[in-house]
Amino acid sequence: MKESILAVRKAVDELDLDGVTGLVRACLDEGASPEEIFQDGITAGLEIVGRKFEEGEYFLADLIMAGEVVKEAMPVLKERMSETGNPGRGKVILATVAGDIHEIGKNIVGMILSANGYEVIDLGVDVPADRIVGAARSSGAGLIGLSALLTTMVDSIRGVVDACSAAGIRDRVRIVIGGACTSRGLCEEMGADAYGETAIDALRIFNGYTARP
Amino acid sequence: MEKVILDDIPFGIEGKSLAALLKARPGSRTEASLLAMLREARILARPKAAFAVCDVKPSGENAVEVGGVQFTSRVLHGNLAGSGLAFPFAATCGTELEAWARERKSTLHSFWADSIMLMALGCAVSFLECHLKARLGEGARLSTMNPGSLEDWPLSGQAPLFSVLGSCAPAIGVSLNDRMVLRPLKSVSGIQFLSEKGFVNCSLCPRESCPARRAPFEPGLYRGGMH
Ligand code: B12
Repeated sequence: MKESILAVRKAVDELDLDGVTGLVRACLDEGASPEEIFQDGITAGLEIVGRKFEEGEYFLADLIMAGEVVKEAMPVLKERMSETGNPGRGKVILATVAGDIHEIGKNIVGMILSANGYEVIDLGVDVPADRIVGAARSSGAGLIGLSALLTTMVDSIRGVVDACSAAGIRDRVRIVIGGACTSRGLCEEMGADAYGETAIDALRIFNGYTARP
Repeated sequence: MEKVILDDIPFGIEGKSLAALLKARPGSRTEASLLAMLREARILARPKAAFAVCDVKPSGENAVEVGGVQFTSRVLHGNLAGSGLAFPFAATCGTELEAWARERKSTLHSFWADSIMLMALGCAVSFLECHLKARLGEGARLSTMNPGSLEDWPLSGQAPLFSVLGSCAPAIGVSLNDRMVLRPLKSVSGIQFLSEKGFVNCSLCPRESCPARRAPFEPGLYRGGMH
């Protein structure tokens, strides 16, 4: 592997926002392909960041910074990438349920999904069910992630499931739930499709739904 | 009933420690833009808190009267019944910072603004605690409960709390919507009270990996402490 690509990987892992564009340019100047830089530099760097997050070494601030590093580097790569270089994985709507305001976990899920190629539509906090349905309709998104931390607000999850049924879109959306007061049992009780304990689980679950045969 | 508004709370966030916390490299452009945001925030930030000084009267086994308003909760009853005085409160990062934060468009800047707001809320809460301790004298041990923290005192407990606070809450820009959510979002509400034992919600909360845990989980406390 080229030294210069390893340097890009290191820049992502070490959250070097100021340095990454220069390093990507250096790889291109040395003749590396944009796909190669994306795969072995950016994506591999993100994998290290994800692992450090799972192991408790990195926190939200690190994930946000890693996301920014990738965002900074992408325009330089995209200019030279073929159309099929980095196909998007699909749209995900994220929201903290009505009556709840805790958003740190949801934001982590959002960071991890967007760094992995999802288009994230973040509706914010205390989001009523009809807004979620409206967004699913207007964006065509088939994936919905709901976050809930307040035990007393878990019924809001059922509210979203019911609103999707009432709007006739239940069979084309997957509803995944997470957040400290949720569980697999609650997921079944509320009629949602899956429960994820961590943000990395969220990624695995959504990847399962969008896997290409 | 005496009500106190604290609206001159220092916003003492130090640039270097903020940059370290938010992973902006020393000397980088990123750090410079974070510090520029902090300078803006320093000018605007008005963290605030308000509290009422209330008499407490036991009211049956599962309730307690604070400032003439009935609160239904076994744990609250157990904690407050012997304490005589209680201080319902609200604390907030302030509407000024929330409005400023709303203008941040990029993910990074919104995240920084969120973190700055949470720190401002932290300043308000610590200032309130210090103020109460100074008022009650050296050695006073204060404990806190927040509506929504325990099933026994759910989020609907915000309503009686706000009725005790009355005009104090709007005076510091804090409001409650019909889903019992506080605005600005970076706000907290609760009751502070004198307690020899030093009760913390955490003793009754099983969430192991909580970043804010202040005491270990004690599953037996609920039963033991209440009877
Ligand atoms: C930070 C915090 C706050 C901050 C919120 C900041 C913010 N921007 O979100 C502030 C200080 C504002 C706050 C306020 C309140 N809070 Co609070 N808060 C917390 C605290 C300490 C940490 C939450 C957190 O961020 N955890 C870290 C994140 C990373 O964890 P997480 O959200 O669980 O996310 C992970 C996973 O769950 C998963 N995940 C999350 N979402 C999703 C979604 C999907 C789809 C998937 C798959 C996975 C997934 O991935 C994440 C990463 O791996 C918790 C304590 C706790 N132990 O949870 C209390 C806590 C949640 N708060 C609580 C309460 C009651 C309140 C208040 C109502 C108190 C009050 N009366 O004032 C207020 C409400 C304010 C308002 N505006 O109305 C209670 C809830 C009790 C309950 N059982 O229901 C808790 C548990 C504290 C307690 N023990 O009393 N709070």
